[in-house]
Amino acid sequence: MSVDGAMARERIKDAFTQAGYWTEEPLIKVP
Amino acid sequence: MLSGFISAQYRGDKEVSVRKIVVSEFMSLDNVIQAPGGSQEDTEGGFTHGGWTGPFWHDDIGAHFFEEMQQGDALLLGRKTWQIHGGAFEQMPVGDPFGDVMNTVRKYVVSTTLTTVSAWRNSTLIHNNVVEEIRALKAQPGKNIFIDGSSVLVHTLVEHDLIDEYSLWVYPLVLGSGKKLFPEGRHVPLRLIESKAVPSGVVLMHYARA
Repeated sequence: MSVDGAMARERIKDAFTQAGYWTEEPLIKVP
Repeated sequence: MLSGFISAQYRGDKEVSVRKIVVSEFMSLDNVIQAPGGSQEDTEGGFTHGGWTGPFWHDDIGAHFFEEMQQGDALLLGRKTWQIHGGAFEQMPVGDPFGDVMNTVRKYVVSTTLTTVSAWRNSTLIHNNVVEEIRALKAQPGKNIFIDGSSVLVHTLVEHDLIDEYSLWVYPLVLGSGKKLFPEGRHVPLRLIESKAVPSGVVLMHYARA
């Protein structure tokens, strides 16, 4: 696992949440 | 790591660096690139599957983003993708590692309708003569130029054979509808230069023009 990679997920999530793009619950589930 | 971001060609005895246009996308098995990050990211055309990459996240995907961006110095985006990205990243504070990457890099946005690009810092508008302008951009000295999203722009560049490489994270699902990476009816011969899978089932496939 990469620290940079994990950070990227959190930062994208924050930015997309503020912009109104993000959903907490993904619409597509991994089986 | 991606193999060499700048290729070298020899003209006489002088080595000349060639700037590449690299399409970097999250895509489904059926060629869809629309709204990978969020349900409301891009619902154009009634697309209801936005956010489809979320369940398959792996930190190597995020790490790859930073590696890739170090190999480029510009983003080339269509109007819609530029607006979506700008809407998310412009508001990130200076000093945020992710925001700094997205906000400090030079952006070129292709649009016939925008009159200003002040909504996202370090952006330049390409309004006319798109293909000629992009050819000129590619001829300038610099690092790679990355494109993501931007399906309309990518189709134009495919038609004019202006794309050097495709860096594709392919997700293990078929969406059935949505904006496509490759235009219908176009033959695009490619050569695989790198591939790797992450444990969540996503596969990086990095191609160069054959």
